[in-house]
Amino acid sequence: MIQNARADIVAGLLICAVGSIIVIYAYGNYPMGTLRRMGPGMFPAGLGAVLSLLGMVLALNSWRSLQANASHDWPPVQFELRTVGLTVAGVVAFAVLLRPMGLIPAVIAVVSISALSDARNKPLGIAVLALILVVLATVIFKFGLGLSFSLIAWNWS
Amino acid sequence: MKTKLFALAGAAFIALGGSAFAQSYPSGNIDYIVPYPPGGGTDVLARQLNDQIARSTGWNFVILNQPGAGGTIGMDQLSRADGDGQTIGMGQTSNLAVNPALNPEVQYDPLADFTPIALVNTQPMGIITHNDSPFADFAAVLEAVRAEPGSVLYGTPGTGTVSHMSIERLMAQDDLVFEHVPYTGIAQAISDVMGGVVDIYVGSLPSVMQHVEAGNVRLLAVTSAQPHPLVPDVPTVASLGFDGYLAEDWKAVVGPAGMPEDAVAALNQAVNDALAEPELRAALEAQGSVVLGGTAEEFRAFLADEVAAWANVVDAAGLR
Amino acid sequence: MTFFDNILLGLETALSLNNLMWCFVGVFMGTLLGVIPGIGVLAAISMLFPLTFQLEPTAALIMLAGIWYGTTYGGSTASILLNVPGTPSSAITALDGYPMAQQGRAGVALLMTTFASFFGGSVGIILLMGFSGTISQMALQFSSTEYFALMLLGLIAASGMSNGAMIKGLIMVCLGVLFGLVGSDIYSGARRFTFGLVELADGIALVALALGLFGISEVIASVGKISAKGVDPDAVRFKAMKPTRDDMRRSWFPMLRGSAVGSFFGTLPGTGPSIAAFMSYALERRVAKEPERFGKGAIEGIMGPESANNAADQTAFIPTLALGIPGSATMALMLGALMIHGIAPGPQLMSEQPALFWGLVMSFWIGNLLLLVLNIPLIGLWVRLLTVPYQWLFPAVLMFVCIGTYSVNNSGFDVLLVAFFGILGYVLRYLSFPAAPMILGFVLGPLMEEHFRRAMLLGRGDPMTFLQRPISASVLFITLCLLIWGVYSAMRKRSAGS
Repeated sequence: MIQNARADIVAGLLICAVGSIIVIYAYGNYPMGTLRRMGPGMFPAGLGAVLSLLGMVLALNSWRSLQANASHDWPPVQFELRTVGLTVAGVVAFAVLLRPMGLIPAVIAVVSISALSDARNKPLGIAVLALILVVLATVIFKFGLGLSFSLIAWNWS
Repeated sequence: MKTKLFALAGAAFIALGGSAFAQSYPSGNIDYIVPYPPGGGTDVLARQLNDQIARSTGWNFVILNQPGAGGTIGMDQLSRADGDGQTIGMGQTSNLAVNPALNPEVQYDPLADFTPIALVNTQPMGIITHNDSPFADFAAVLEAVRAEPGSVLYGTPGTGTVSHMSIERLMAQDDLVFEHVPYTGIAQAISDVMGGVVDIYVGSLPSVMQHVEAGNVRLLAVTSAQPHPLVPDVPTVASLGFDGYLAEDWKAVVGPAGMPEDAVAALNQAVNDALAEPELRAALEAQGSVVLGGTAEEFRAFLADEVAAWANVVDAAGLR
Repeated sequence: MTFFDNILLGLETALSLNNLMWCFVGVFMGTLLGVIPGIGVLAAISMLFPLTFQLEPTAALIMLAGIWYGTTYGGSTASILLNVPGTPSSAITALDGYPMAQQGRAGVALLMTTFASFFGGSVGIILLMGFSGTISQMALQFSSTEYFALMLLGLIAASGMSNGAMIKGLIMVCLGVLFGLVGSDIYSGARRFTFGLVELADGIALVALALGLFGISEVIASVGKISAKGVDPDAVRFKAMKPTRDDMRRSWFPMLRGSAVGSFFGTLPGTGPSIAAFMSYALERRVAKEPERFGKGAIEGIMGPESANNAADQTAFIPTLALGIPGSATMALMLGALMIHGIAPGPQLMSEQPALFWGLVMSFWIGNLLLLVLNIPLIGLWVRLLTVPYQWLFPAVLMFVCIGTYSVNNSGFDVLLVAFFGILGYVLRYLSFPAAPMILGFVLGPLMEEHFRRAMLLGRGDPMTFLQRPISASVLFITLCLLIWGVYSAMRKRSAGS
């Protein structure tokens, strides 16, 4: 991937912020203990501090190289928001549906939702693909490996 | 045969919702929740016991491993299952007595949310030290701790385990101060106790016995009420001036609350019959277990005692 | 002399028709299962564990061992073809194996991986048979202080292993450690960063992190970009699997160095194959004349780590057999299998059950050979997978990722985590942060904290304990040199650039 100074400044500052939040959260929620018998907060707090330091260094370095060079562009790669959304939605749908409704609806959900992210997939193709994968998943995981989930259920509780 | 049994798992799962408790127990497969992964001590015991029961009764058990959070995720699931006797599971000291007192996150009440069915077996903890240790016996360890509190480092397989709680119980009973060095499991701990990095190590008797037999470490004491049949000459902690002291890892069959009495009776009978089989008994004893069995009422009373005792230890140690 | 007796006894046991068959069944099923994203060694062994109840103990163990390396190999296969690693060591294999596959050299990568595994495994076995006594005494010298120093070295080395800036690698290592800290604190039992979710009490599942970070983000980045993964049908013929003379020439030294690195780390309980693979990769990149080839399909980048990881798998048996200490969760599970059959696993296993023990060791060797034989026809089949149009392939990959992740802990929550790490992985990729150091940070982070705190506890709170012990002091010195070197070369690059 392309190194980009401007994106790195943002990332560095973000990391620095995350590190600081960790320090504050660990300090506020977990006992620090002593050097000899450290509490649960000591290590995360130290780690957060290191992280925000590193983030700072990254941001500073990138700022300096931005001054030196004239590359002012953002990364030329496009952020694929639609693909991210559909892929993640498919996985989440699987996670949510598997226990209450069983393997078959869950597989259909993950396959058909995520398949939409590729424009070349048409509804009929997706249906056929989902059917094939349902059979495949059932044969491999249910009958082959005997995993303990139901194929179809109605069990919302 | 095993694969077939697994293939039926799904059918049982679906049937679970709809099936009412019929006159004869059980109606179909019995789902059996093991709150640990396959191959662990609890899983192995459950499979051995269920194989024996299945052989004599023809019942079909479907083992569902639900690991997580020291066995409390599986027990939580069991506590929420239908109390029709078609879902039961295996619990033990840590997830039925210690953890509910220790962790505020544990949702279930071990006494109200489960139906006790039968105790299965129990294993004491063994306290070991390295061969060149200055401690000749456990009395010497106690002396050292009394002379200089905090001078003895003890390793355990983890915080909140029966091993850890066994020393906490000792400390609660007589104002002693030991220094705890928790490990994650036995591997690194054994290496450290052999090298004298920690003074003593507390672990379940079977887990330390192999190292004792190999001559790598010495066994100082056991935490059961009576001397253990495998090592009859090793003193119990109770015999060293700690009346009523007991810290054991017992395992038991339990079901969700509100199970029909005839189901409990049938299951209890089946467990006791299985434990009476010489083959299973011998296998369990070879692993360092004391076989228990007994009625469901005895188990209920025992569970109430244990829950109260460990809650006391947790309070006294300020661990919650 | 006993050395050869043991080998003979082992061969006799392992080559009996019955055991050979179970070895084959294990390797075969392991390979098939391992190819499914998310199904790692532990998950595969857990799933097939009940099948071994009916077997006699030696056959059961041999089959489990077969499943073990079959799955490991299957995992590498999936990582090379689709970039969906489920374990740290296959994440390393994917770094250069996946680019090779994209260049149409998947067959070569898969075949050479098999060679590297066999080579590393063989070195490990020889050490196991010849020097286990000496090596286990060495392992006893390692306490928490030394472990901490070694892990720090591993993490610093890992942060310099990608082509980008070292600082980004360091940041990723720290983020990985941070995710590793989620869950119950082993000292106090306090739940850290779990936000009241019981599902996080045992921490974040490794599979969920790995599959999200690599697999899902790879899918997101590839959708709509590639049609069929640039594989011409000729690539599936056997001829296309044949490595070039150049490939062979480049492979010998990485395999030797990898085996040495792997053998060392394998003997230390708990660290094992994953740190070995990372160290080997970092080492190869450091000694290479053109380090910029790494990450773009350098064969050294798969040969070193693959042999390291297999050598470590074998030498992990050394503490197990000499001291009765299981070196990994997988090892503990296999020893658990013995208990079912009424055999107490432990230091006396070797003397009390020599046929079982040496049969198992030799079956490793035979199993690795079987793997080689089995996979030559299978490689063609796997590579053919890449000729499936990507718009159909990726929903299938996602489905397998979901089911595979779920099956590890029967947990829908873990699948949600996959989605979370998928987004994170894509964002980090977009900002060109390397993902591999994060996974090592994740694995080693909690161990590092554990050992650091224990070392401080045993050292009565004095940080000097790390410098007073010779082994840890020298390891820390090496780590410092690496860091200084990293900073120095970064500065030189900048001054050369401006």
